Amino acid sequence: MLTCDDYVVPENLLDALMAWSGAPEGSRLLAGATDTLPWARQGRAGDVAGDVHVPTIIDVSRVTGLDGYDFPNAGRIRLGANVVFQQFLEDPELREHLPHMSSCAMWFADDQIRRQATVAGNIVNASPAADGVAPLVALNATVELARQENGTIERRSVPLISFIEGPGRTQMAPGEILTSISCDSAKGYGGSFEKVGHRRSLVISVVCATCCVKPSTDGMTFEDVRLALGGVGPTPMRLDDVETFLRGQPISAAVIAEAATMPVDRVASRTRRTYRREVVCGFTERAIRGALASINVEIPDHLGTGQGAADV
Amino acid sequence: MSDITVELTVNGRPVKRLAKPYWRLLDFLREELHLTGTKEGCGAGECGTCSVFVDGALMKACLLPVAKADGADIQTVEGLAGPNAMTVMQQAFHKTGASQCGYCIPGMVMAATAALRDNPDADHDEIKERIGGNICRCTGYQKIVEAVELARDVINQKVPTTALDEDADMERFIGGNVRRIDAPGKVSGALRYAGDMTMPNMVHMQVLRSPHPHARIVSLDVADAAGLPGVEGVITSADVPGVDGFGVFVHDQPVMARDKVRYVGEAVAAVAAVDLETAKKAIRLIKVVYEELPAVFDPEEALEASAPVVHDEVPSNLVKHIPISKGDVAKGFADSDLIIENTYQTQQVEHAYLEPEAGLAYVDADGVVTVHSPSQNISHHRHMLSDILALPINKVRMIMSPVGGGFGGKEDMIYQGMLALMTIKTGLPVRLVYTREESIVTTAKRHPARITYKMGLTKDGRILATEIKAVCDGGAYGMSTEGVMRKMAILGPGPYDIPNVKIDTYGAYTNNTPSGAFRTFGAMQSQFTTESHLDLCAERLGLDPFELRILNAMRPGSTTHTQQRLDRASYLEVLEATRNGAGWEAGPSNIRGANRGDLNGLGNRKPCTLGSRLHEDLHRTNGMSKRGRGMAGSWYGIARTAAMDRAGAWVELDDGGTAKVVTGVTEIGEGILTVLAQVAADELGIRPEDITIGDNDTARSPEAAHAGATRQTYMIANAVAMACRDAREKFDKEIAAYWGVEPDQIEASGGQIWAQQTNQRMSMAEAVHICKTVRGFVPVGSGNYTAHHTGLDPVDGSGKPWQAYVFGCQIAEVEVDTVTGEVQVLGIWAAHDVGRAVNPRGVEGQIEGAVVQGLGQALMEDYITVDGHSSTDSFAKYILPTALDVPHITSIIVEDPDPLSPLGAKGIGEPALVPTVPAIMNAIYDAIGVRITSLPATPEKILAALRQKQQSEAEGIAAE
Repeated sequence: MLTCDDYVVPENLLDALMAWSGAPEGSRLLAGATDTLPWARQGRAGDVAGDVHVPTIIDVSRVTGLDGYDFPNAGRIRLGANVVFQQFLEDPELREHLPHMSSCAMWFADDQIRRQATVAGNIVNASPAADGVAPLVALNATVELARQENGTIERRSVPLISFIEGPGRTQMAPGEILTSISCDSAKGYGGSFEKVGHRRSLVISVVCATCCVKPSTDGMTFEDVRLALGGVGPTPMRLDDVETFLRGQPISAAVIAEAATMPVDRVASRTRRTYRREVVCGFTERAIRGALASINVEIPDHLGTGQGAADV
Repeated sequence: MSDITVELTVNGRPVKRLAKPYWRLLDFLREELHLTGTKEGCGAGECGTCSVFVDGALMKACLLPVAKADGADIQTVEGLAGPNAMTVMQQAFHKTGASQCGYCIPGMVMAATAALRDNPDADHDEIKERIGGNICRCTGYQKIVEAVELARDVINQKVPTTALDEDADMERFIGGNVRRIDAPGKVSGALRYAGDMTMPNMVHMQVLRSPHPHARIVSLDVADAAGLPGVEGVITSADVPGVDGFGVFVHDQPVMARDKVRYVGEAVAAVAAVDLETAKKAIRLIKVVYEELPAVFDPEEALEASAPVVHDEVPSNLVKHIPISKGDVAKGFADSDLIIENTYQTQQVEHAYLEPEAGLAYVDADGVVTVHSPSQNISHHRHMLSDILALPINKVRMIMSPVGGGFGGKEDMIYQGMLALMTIKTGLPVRLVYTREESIVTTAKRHPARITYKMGLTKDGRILATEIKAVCDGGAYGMSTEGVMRKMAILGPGPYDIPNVKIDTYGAYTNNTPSGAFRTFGAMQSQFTTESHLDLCAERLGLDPFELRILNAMRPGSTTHTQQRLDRASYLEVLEATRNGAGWEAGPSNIRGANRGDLNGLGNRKPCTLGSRLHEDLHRTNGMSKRGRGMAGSWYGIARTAAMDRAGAWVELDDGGTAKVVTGVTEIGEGILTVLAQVAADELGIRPEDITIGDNDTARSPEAAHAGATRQTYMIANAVAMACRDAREKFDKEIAAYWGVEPDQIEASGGQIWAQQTNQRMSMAEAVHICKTVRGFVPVGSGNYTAHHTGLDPVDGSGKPWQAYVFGCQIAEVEVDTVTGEVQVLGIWAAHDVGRAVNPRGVEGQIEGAVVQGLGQALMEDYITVDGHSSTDSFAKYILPTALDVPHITSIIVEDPDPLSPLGAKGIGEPALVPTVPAIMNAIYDAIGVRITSLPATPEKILAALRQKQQSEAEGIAAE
């Protein structure tokens, strides 16, 4: 169980940063609390005295300016740190710009937890099973961090794919708070997200795959593809090589099947878990097909040469 | 530490209080405001029992620091309806039988309410998604979803509000779907479980537990802990005045560790203090020095001569060996055309009742040591406590608090001894509430079994010989191991007439978490292997699996493996009912999945397509999935095994034509209270709502013994029927005398009493009044029911362990995702012979709940320890089925009344769990041709087996 001496709820970013940089050693930032509270109980089963004591908890969920989203740059969307996963399901505009996040949200925990769990919390916790990260990595996400220096707010921006260094480890510096996440808008794209687990709800991910896809106007070729995998290694994997291969190719069963074989070796080199290597191929194929199906793009079965079936 | 001020609205009332800064909203609601309807089932957001509305949005209060609720508008289950009222949703839960033990129900009602608030037209799939964050362990979710659909239709006026009422015109209550009499208290959150109870001056207990699997206690110093301000008492084994040893069969377990610890999590000492924080601080001040000892974790290793000895009195580490033999297996195998051998492995399974263990103990004004706890066996616990405390048995009182799920896990006594000792020592009421992690890691589990199987058959499919050897991990203490080994052996070879059998079950001590009583008590482990093995044999012989069962089925006149002659056996009827009910297409047990024509019919759900509310089909296996069907048979003996069973009851016809029924009934969610009310209503001539059933209290109710062995309807309902008949006999005599007629002319029903062939008639209320005031007679009756079982011969196991058996059969239809190895069970058809269904909806509810427990054990549940340390110590790691995982379940009730049971009824609680696992495994084989022999069949195992199969096929082709 988590215990603390003080629980502070700053109302603006500067107060939050001042409290954070001045907090005693061992203090923690808290957003939705959906990772922190369970964490404080883990592995302490037989040991009731094993409560986790933290001097100060700084709850950033009421800091103004950290919820909501906007579009400060063309083609990009910026999500406030405190956007919760339920919003990706319920907000039509978010569904439009981030078509794979609604599927991600559908698979994320359950309704109750989605209303509390924040995007920033999911990123900063950096669990290898963090579902929210792979979809953002696929869209060239960057995270914006703030800190205070002598009472002024300083900011910096880091690509999400480098921000996460390993399980539970990020590039967040002491005194920093993650304030927003920016990524490409996938408006007009189809999106998909799937994960493997041992049941159909409250699933902790073993492997996940996500895809955004934009077909050409005539629906025959891949104009743009974004692909990422989660859970296949210590950090999420952006499948840039597969994306490059697909761009410009005809949309066909054979092309998709070929693309799906590409991540296998890369995954094999990063994980010793046979199971993850086994599923990657079929999963990648499914992610691409799912994204196309979500915008009702048919996948013809002929070979990827562009020639007709009669040539086979 | 700085307390914080929280100001919020709770159920419409403004509240302003101080709170500890680290309190969660859950603590604030329960401890500060005493709103105990919101529960702490797990504290980690994994079970949903803490769900509350925060500004109209449903959230989990165990994950909400209370400061987050400042300024918010909170609605708890207590605030859904006004006092003594129920919302449409709550009434719907009552109507459909959605409430069993009740512990998950307040949270489930909240999630269901949220679902319809967000989408008043939510369909079946969307409802399941919206309750996907709430776990139920009793019901299998089917009737919960039905309740939400009923509420939706009533609210949308598609169905009249009368649909929520009790079924009309029930002339006889036995056989009717009488609504559960304990449901209103559960759906409203009003019922208090042990962890919800408080008393003035109550102190809080915490337990210090062993970090080692096997160690000598060199020194134990509690002085600093005892001296901490706020601490009222500290206890260790030194505080036990009487016999420090208890257990169901062998009294090998001390209340707290004595001289050494034998498993990780064993209790070593306990502290009681004015609050939990002080108790925990004091625990940290206890100084223990351990000397680690070599430990043993594998039961087969434990049985070897060189193994570390867990209990000095048992140097072999053998808890119990049960041998059963009939005929001559060597000759049987010699005569067989086909001999098949295989090895199977089952896992340790966690009961996962939603209510973690809890108890409240005090010494009353007469010096009686009283313990309230959700115990499944208060009679036996009182016995053991009186020896432990060195007190006369009537100076110890065990009261069963409402049980939030048991499944056998609350049958072995675990912590009641500590509570009793502490209350004696401190002179204060003491409460102990387990955390979920503590419950998982330190309390008993299902015995894992390694089973080697050998079966010999003729080429026509007649079984000539079965040889089974099972080695089971009993863990650190004996608990129910002997009984589990016995039942596993007796029922193991299945409901088949086999001339030669040899079964040997071995339970061994190890330094693992103890194994104890768990629904089916060993029968599901052994029958899992038998039904899987028969499928193997059917394939080799080219026989339809039903045909193989029918050929060998026990029939009336058959002799069992313990050489008992069965006068009745309904197995053939049950097999037919299942086969027809599911439209099973005949054919051999090959991989028929792709070719069979009976798939995807009625009785299946659709594969789970998360995204129902997005109107998207997110589940696209794109032809990368395969479907199949499998079946399995089963049998189960009712009531105490190989021992006489008994139950007693008292009945009083009371003012107003009501009645009191008092008996040691242990309602753990299975619905026995309602069954008793129905039986008493029919026997007495009144209605279920006229019946009050007394509490299960060793000082107030006659012994009816425990909730276990599927015995309560059989033993207790029959005892109650006997008591009612006794009361009526005396009552009828008085009324007959009053009317000047013969007693056998008296009839009563539905609250009216009359004399046949006359026009004399009055209400039962008037008749009771007359009996007492005019005749001067208080109509009380008593009854007993006995089951005449015999013990088993120690050499060949022969005997009559039971007088009634429940035969069963289940068919499973599954879809296997060949990319991921994930399995979804889409349909289960379950037929069981219950003798007589007193409450058919209740029988269905038990079947549905059992099937889902079976599904969990088949596919996802695995309690794992490494060197005695658990790595699955939370509901995040120990995976339970959610509403989205469950199949559509079709229950087929078969009734072959038991002639020795006055009511004809037998039981269902455990029988329904026996065939589910093998039916699913056989269905997986039918779909993809891989046979998983080690449970659970996780996606990893299935995929690995698939790959291996593909590889050996490729090699086979290459070799040609």
